[in-house]
Amino acid sequence: MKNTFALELLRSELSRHVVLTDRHAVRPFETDGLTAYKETPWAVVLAESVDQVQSVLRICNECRVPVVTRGAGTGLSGGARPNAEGVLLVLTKMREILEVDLQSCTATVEPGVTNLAISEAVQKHGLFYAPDPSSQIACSIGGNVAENAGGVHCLKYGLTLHNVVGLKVQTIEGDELVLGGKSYDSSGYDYMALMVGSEGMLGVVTEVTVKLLPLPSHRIVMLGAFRDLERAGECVAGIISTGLVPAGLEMMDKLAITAAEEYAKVGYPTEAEAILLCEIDGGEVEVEHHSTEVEKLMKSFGAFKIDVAKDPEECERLWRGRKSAFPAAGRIAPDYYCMDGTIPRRKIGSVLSSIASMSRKYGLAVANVFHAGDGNLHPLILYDAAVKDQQSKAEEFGAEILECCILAGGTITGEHGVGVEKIDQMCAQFSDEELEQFHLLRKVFDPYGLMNPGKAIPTLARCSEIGGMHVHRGELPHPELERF
Amino acid sequence: MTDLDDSGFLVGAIESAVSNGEPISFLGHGSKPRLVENDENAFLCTADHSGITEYRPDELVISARSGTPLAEIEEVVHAQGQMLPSDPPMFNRKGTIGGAVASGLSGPGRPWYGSTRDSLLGVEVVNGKGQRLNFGGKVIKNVAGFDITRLYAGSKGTLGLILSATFKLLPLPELVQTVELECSDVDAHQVLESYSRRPSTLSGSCHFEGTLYLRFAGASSAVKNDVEESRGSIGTSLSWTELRDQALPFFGDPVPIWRVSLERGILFENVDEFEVLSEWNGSLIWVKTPTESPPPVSKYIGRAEPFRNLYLEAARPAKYAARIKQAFDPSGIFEPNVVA
Repeated sequence: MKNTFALELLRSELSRHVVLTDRHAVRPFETDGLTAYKETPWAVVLAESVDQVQSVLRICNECRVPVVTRGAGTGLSGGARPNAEGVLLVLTKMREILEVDLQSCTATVEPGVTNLAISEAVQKHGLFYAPDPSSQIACSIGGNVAENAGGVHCLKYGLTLHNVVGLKVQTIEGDELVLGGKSYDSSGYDYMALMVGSEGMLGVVTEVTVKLLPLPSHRIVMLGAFRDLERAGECVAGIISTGLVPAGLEMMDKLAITAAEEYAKVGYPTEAEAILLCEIDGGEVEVEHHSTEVEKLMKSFGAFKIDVAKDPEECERLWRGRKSAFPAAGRIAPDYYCMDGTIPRRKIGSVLSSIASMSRKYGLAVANVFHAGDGNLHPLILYDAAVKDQQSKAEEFGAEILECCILAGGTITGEHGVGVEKIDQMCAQFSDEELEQFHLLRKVFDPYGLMNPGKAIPTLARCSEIGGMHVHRGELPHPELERF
Repeated sequence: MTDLDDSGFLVGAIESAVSNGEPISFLGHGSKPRLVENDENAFLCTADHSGITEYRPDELVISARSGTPLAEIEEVVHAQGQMLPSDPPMFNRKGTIGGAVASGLSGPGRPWYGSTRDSLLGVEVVNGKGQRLNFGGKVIKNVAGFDITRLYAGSKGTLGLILSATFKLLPLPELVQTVELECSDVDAHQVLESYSRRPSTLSGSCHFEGTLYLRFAGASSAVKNDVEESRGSIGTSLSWTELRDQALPFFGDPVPIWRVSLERGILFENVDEFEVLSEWNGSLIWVKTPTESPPPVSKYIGRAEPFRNLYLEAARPAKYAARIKQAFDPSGIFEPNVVA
């Protein structure tokens, strides 16, 4: 009933063509990048302006209708999965680059601008926007802010959090918050930190100002091939502890290498158990010097083959395999489930072994392709949703991987967000009091809990229902029991 | 170096302050200027709650109790060839890691290495219900839950006590050199602007009394190259540590000192001839004023905050700030006179 009234208001305040309710028209929005979770939205608004965003929020707040904000829908945790009784507020039509300010080296853009479009727009000035999630060709900057997106270059350049300097955020109560800006600091509480990674639960981002960096003049990409997965893991820790900060340091295991090579044909050594991809950038002398050091280190950790790419096409070739790893996994299995746990780097080898044992236990293959320098794992669990029980087995397997990451002193998500996917594991990572603090903070910006409800922060009731155990600082009850 | 877990006492003190409704302020070693005048609250001192709890050089991550002096942390990580990226000020060498988080202040390298908030990975805090809570963690990528960790950076004690903090570290640069260039503030502005759009090892800037100091840090070959291209002379007259800790004579005067933060790339024209010192690519300016009225910054996009020999005026927090405060400190006992 309340929805009918809300719909009348939406239609009277917004142009008719931006409000969709027809089943066929809203169907394409039923899922984000995590396609295993689907929900048909009650209504979709394709907002074209800040005014329209404000109207949607006001109407939803007054009528107590849930609102889920969505960008390009490339998210991997179901964070933008629609609500069956709610409005899906889509921001991809707001895609103007509003300003490129060379004096402050910043760009101010609307939320629907794609990540890659920013770098493309400023390339002629010798600048770039550093965070580069694999989906950068499609994903929108508004979504990057909501998820605190990462990418292969976070190791040196940081996450979205470190590269966004200003935001305009609309709250559901109708306030526009102008946060941060072009100065290096702001007074008051750090609302920016709260908004970045808030998964659409605290406000709607309608303008983003990002920091632009000078394009490095030189770069070298190296591929080291290893016969032993654990040794490759040790090599990662070895590189980091020598004081080098590579622009990117990525690892792939045998299954991922084979899949990527079949798909992209970039000349990856399929006989290797693991490869490391290491990018060094900066000034010419510095790059030469550091890459020689990395080469020596790779050899000392047992690399049997090292490919060094210096010209842009060669570098691109080596990266292309890595960047196509996800679609490549999609070719070797009907479905895959990508996890995102992050662990201390020194635990990479042991956690990978645990994942291998779990793989045998569940009877499901895993391809590992991940941001090794950050300790950010992306095990891709391969399964077939058409086979009975495989979906639930894959989910169980994923949950066990995440609990293993918490035990190793890490976290359940490094860059993809909690969304609906990892909400139960939040109960394992946080205590009831901590979760309660999250809920109280949420109420600061959204007293009725209408923004993206049911995501990211589980209710205490949910946690007690699933009966998961809370792992406090890596200490689990009964540590003497063996767990895989 | 002390290694003492005083959290039992600290949590107990907060619990009793909560139950008695007594306002409470936090203090480490008192290294920073107070924000409010005639603070009459009881002080809860974290100085005894000190010690590095975990340091793994191979992970470039360090955790320490809030009362640990920054000087101690610096000594330990320097010995391993590492550093706290934001290089927070220690003032009289007594500043603590808890104070660095609560004040959110960063050192001269902030535009290049990021702020104290940027490299903060996790905190353990006590909120206004006396609950011990952990947010963030010990890994460099972590997006589970809202980023309450960084909300505590710069919260000035208003959201509760910070018991411990975890920071990301960086390798120390192989070589650090300072170049001096005699130039006006207008010329200095131009020089700095030219660096903003090309890669270099610039990692610090300071303009003061007609001299621009540029700090280059990184791989030695690259630093040497940048020094040569800068066409300045290598100098040693400015100590970046003294600049960071405000130990330069400029900061010694007992006159009001304002902290002016400007938009990146804007030139501060010192038309009123105040004594000024600028850092951070010219975006952070320390201004001495003869009276307690602020320097005129309204024509710029920026703001002036009282810093030394000055106090904050009592103000009511804005809508969301008041609610945040309420969410963490429902009885309003933490630093009641401070508005973050």
